[in-house]
Amino acid sequence: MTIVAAIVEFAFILIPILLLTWLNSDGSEET
Amino acid sequence: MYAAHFGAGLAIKSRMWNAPTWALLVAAFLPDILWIPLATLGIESQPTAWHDDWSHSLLMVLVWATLLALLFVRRGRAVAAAIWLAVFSHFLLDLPIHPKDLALYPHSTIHLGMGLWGIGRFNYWLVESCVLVVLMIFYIRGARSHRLSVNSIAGTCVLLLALHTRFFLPF
Repeated sequence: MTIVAAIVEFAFILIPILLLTWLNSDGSEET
Repeated sequence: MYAAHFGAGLAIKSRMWNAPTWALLVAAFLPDILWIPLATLGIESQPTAWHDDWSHSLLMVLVWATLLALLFVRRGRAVAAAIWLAVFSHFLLDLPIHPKDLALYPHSTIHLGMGLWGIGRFNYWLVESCVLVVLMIFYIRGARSHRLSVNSIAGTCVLLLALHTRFFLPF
């Protein structure tokens, strides 16, 4: 796997994680 | 599977609201997150054969789950157990359909799985759709009981379905 492919693979995982975390933050979650 | 791993993290979140969402989602994807650098370094995926024993085999998933859960013990045993379960959920969800059946341990000749990889792209989509819907129902029920806003729940479900659909598009 090339570095570029690895970055794309990471993006497909990490960007949804960020969005889902934001959508489910109710202000009470300890970070 | 792809979107179902996010669904698993959120389903566990709905039962353990004290656990950080980001941690559960990272945990649910941990074998894949580990696979990427291992494949880049040439340790996992090989040019001639699929290889993910160090990130996805049963033994290693148990190891990764335990190590990550230990990092969260100070937040309470229940949170650590939720993190552990999120990592292990990755193995359970990959068990029916994976490019190669999952090894018992690295370089083991014993492999676990249902060998459904050859059922075709659309059938794969249908199987993951069923799994995702079940996980989303768990999530919705838990999120509602914790009074998460309808907009947040709806946004989460739309995003999950979009990720699931996008993953199977040929472009």
